[in-house]
Amino acid sequence: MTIYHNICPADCFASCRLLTKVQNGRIVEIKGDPKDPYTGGKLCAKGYAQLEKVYSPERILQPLKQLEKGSGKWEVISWEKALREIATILVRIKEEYGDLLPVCLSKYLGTMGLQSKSVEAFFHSLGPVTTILGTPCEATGMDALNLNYGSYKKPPPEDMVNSRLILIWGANPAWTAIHQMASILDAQENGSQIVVIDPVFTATAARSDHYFQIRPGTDGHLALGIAKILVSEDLLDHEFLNNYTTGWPKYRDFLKKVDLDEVASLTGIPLPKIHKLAHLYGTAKPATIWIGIGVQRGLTGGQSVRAIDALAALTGNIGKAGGNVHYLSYDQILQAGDHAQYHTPYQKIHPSHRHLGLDWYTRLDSLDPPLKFLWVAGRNPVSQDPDSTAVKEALKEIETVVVADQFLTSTAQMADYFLPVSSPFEHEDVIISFWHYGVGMNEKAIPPLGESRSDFAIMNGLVNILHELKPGLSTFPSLENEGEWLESQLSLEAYDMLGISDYRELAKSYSRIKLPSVPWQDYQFPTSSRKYEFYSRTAENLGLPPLPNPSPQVSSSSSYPFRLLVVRSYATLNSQFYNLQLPRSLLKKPFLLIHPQVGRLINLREGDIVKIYNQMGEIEMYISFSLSIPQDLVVTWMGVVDRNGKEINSLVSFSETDLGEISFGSRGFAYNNCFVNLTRVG
Amino acid sequence: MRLGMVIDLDKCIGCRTCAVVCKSHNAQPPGTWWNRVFTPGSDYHQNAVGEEGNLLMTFLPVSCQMCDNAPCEKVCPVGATFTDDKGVVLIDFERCIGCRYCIAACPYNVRQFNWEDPKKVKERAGYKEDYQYGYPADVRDEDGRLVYTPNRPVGTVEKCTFCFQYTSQGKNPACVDACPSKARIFGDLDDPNSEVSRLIRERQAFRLKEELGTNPKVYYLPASKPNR
Ligand code: SF4
Ligand code: SF4
Ligand code: SF4
Repeated sequence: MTIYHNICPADCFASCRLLTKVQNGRIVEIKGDPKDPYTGGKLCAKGYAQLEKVYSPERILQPLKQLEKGSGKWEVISWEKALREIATILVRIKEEYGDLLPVCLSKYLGTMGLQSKSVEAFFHSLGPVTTILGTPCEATGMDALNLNYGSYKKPPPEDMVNSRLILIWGANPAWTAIHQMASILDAQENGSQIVVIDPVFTATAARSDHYFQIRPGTDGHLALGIAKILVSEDLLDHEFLNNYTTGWPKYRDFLKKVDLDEVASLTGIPLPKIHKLAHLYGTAKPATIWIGIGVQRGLTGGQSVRAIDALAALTGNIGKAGGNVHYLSYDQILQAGDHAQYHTPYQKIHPSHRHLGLDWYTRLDSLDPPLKFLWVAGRNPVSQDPDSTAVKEALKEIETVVVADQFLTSTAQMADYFLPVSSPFEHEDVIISFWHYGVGMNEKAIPPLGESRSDFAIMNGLVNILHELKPGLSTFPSLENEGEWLESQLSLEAYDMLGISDYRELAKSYSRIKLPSVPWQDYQFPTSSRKYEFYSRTAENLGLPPLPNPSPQVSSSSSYPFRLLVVRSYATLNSQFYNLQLPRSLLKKPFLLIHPQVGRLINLREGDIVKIYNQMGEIEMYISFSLSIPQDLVVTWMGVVDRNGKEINSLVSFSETDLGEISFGSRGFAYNNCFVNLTRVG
Repeated sequence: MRLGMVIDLDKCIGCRTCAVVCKSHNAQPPGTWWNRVFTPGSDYHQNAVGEEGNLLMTFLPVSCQMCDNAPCEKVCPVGATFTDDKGVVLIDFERCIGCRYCIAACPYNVRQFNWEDPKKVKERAGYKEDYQYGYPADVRDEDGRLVYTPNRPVGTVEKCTFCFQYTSQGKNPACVDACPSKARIFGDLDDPNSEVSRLIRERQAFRLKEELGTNPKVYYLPASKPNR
């Protein structure tokens, strides 16, 4: 029996270290590594489902070719044949168009491992290709912070225990970051106040000291209201405001125009409660704000994040232990190879590439040269991008679609070629946590199941054939195995910082990329004014509101009176884990949560099937009554499919947020801008 | 020594990690859960209960309550259910005749019956041959009684054993070690200095259906957060 060190590669806060017990070539147990400084060896339910995921009957272990996209008529094909056909297509495109601009990669965070960055590297090695910029996740909020600070920094997660007040704004760590929840509860035990602002009365809210139920999309307005009260009651840090900010007088004037009664009616939070919230945050020192990803998913999500962040500046919580704002940092990724920076603000965009935004699939017709070839890895856009139907149509239109994955996801069902990827336990990898910056090595515990291969091995195989068919088409280095690839995926500085001379030592070393334990302590803000900017010239130059100004929101209409909020569930991760027994049996059927009062109005009982529809289409789900949500909201889980297998995002129309292009080249998706109506089925 | 568990409902976040880890460590077939986490008052997990302006949401993990005065044991006609010298209520899988009186007698609804051979149930779930989960070996107590086996015989009853395979070695139960919120504490109720004893003394611990006189060794610390 041997124990291997692994890391859960999911797009998650914890990047849990795992101990994998292998007996006779078979994994018999996966558990948390008690030495993991962030998790202490605790996993979540998904972590324990990893074993089932490895041996799931639904895992595809041979390359497949589909006779017609979406037909389900798959044929087993050999690797040699599949890769040779794909390579031949690339060569043909090159011959026909003179370059590979019709070729495009769609990759995101299905795995956080640096090993899979070989996919990005391969496409960059082809000379000019088409690149999809942007991220469906955090771009809007990142831009907001960029406008305020000129950059993105956050404290390490442990710093929350230094806070006298933790304001969790639109995050639900009890579901999505359970380890952080543990330290929040520890802080609470030591006397810190936990305040939660969320449209849904979540498990996190239930454990808080103060909860404020907000109407979705009005977060920025609430922040302005709080700011106005902070000003009028002089709960301000004048020293910080006078010395380290610009545009403060303009912001103060702007706040004068904020009508608190209007804020109360917009947000649905009564005025006395807004006063209370302002007092709580304005008087606790230090206080921190954790801004969740949900806040920035509205039409003016970016300005909302700016306004929330501005509260930290008003109260002088910036640059202090236990203060600041927790959102996301990318500085740790600067210690990884170039290709790890593909979807970060630091990406070095190839000037000769053609750049498409997140809206690429809505404008295929206008592209010259057209898109002829798309490679999808670590991503499930049919499920996760807005307007699933449009994404499917786009995939149909593209001549050749290759999907590399472990399962026949809804995107894979639209592929011509399916390439089976090995599970994280079957190849070496290195993972850097985006939340706590821990760096660890993922060992190969067992050989790849069936014919599956690591992303690196897939790209390497393709390169070898390309070199033979058309030498020089790709400059991807000739390497033996993913080990050689991984050797070059950390900066020399990182090796020093982590105290290692070989990445393999990371399996048993528990160090982190060292970032300042208290960001902004020096008050050096890399904005154009070198100060914290309430008034942003960058925004002004881009034609955006220079002051944090969330303009009024679109709201529900009489035809579609309910806002649909799609949240990450506690047992799944975006579209991952639904196909496994364990998480599925926790979640049971695909449920839509509605307020019981709404149920009474349309004559529904618990467990009935309801049709959810809007201008985009309709889907059918079971309903469950929930007092956790307001009456004009309906809630379900990200990545869920309805009882007929239809994606939830087929109801979400493509619409953009207000920010994102400064950092990521494309604005974010305004997922929360989705309105629906309900009727009973049968 | 009397083994007992304390579950702090102020800390439980309802994540169900304990349910999953119990299931995998104890090789429970699909459909069988020795350990479940409920949201009292709501059928659907993680929904608030109460009324507008006075809402709350608490979670209640429930597994075998390890009754000192165990109704399941009393009704067992063949002595298959017994209490060991540490107070752990166990089932001898070689004695259980599947009469299911204990299921009817247990007021906590934690006992589950193997209507089918668990191996077959796992097969039907389509698990690959390679996917075997849970503690892999048979475990017998000092008297040779079979109190754990990865696939319980068809026609027998099963439930939480306080993770006999681990706790008999002085380790913690799987759910205690796995709880990310540190909401579960395990120890010796007879030892006044143990953490469980201290918490029970200091925190107004209660037990489920105390009025029945079953005298469980699983204690709960009440949730104290305000309603809203
Ligand atoms: S693992 Fe802990 S926090 Fe999660 S449901 Fe179980 S007892 Fe509660
Ligand atoms: S909870 Fe049920 S199974 Fe457990 S000891 Fe009590 S009566 Fe028996
Ligand atoms: S003690 Fe073991 S068997 Fe009992 S509920 Fe916890 S994990 Fe399950």
